[in-house]
Amino acid sequence: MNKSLYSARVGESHFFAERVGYEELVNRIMEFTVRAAVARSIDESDWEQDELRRGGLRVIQLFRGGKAVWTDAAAFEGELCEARRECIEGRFKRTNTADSTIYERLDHDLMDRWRRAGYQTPSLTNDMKRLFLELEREAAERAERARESLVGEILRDTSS
Amino acid sequence: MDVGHSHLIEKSAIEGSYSPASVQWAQLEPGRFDVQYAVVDASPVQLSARTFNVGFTAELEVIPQKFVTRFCADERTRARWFGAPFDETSLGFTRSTVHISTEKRGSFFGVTIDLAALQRLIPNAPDALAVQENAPDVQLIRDPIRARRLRTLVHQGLLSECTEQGPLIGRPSTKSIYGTIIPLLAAVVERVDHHSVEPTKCLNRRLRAVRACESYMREHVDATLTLLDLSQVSGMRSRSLINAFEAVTGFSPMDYLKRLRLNGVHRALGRADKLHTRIIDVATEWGFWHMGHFTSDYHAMFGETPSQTLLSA
Repeated sequence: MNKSLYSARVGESHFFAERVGYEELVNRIMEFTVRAAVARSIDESDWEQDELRRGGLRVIQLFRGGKAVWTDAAAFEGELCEARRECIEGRFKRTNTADSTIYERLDHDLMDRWRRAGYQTPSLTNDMKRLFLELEREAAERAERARESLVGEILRDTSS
Repeated sequence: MDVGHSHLIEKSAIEGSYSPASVQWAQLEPGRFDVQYAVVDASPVQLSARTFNVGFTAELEVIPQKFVTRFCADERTRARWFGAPFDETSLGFTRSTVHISTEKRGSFFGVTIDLAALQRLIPNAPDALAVQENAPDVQLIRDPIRARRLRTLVHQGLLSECTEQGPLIGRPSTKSIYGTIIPLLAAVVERVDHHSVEPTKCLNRRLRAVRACESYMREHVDATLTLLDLSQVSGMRSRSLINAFEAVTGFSPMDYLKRLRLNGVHRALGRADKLHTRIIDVATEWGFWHMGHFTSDYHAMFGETPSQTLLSA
């Protein structure tokens, strides 16, 4: 398995990114975020989507090269020692890896992407409530405009 | 007998109001769960005090013929009695089940009356008859004055049985206890009516939905659940269900399920054979597939790593 390909999911949902490069991972997180906010604006969000809003990037379970990414290096070392004691070090290393900076990197790159998309957002690491609020408001406004446009279109068609 | 550190189920068995097999509980807040218990048996009245150091949720079945009254032991305790806000002004009654939860630490007093024994011992006393006739099932009333009075009486009753070594399970002379508690309870239960009862209809509906989900979660705790499953179980739309869950438990459904599962792993590791148990296997059985997230959540919840729990098993 390619060691630099990422998979990502929240909770028990299907993976919203599977075996993709880092740039594509950033894209998929953005897409997941927008879809989550739109779903929330019409009261159809899944709990994984709601969890992203509440918990931010930290609720995303990341896998790199098929291995679960640990951000707490000390905890990783501790559990690696335990795996050695249990004589399953090989199994542990095959399925786990440590990277303490992954969320900061993602946060930095996502904030930059959102800024380029016209959204000034604070750190997304621990929650995304502000970003969601803005996206939901915009989704609601656009839906309102689309409804009004439909009404206008139908009235124009029937009166002419 | 010192009743310091132990688990809720064992303590419930000591108290004798609940069927131990019926006790379902989960720690909801980070920290090493601890419950301090004190019970004074003045049959047919039993006084109890319990202090939980972290937030928890518990559901228990009351033994038939027992009438249970619960109230906060101090003004800092904030809880939910069948989902309804429960504070120092509240009195919770039940003859069938108890559903109580706290988001933080909480101290509670309890009065349990064995109605059959009460009938046998003092069959013709008016106050005892009033309690027997009016003892309600699953009710909550706000009565600050009587709640305070009851708190004082139970506190005194328990205090009289404490020694320097700490709270005891005692058997004091019963007359002083039911001579004061029974008349007061009789006065309280006589005024339980539909106007004084909470929760509201809306909260009842939400509570029913949350309880249905809780029970479904417990039955399927090791399976993959979705919000849609819970929506179908509860008959509520997803957003409403999320809001209801937050209102009743203080957590989102997903967070709540995670906490139930973490409790499951904690108990499984706590009674596991440390030589033949692999943490990774237990975690996977309980639906944790990402060991990094699992270990960090576990540590945040119980203040120790899974391997520390296993080693101390």
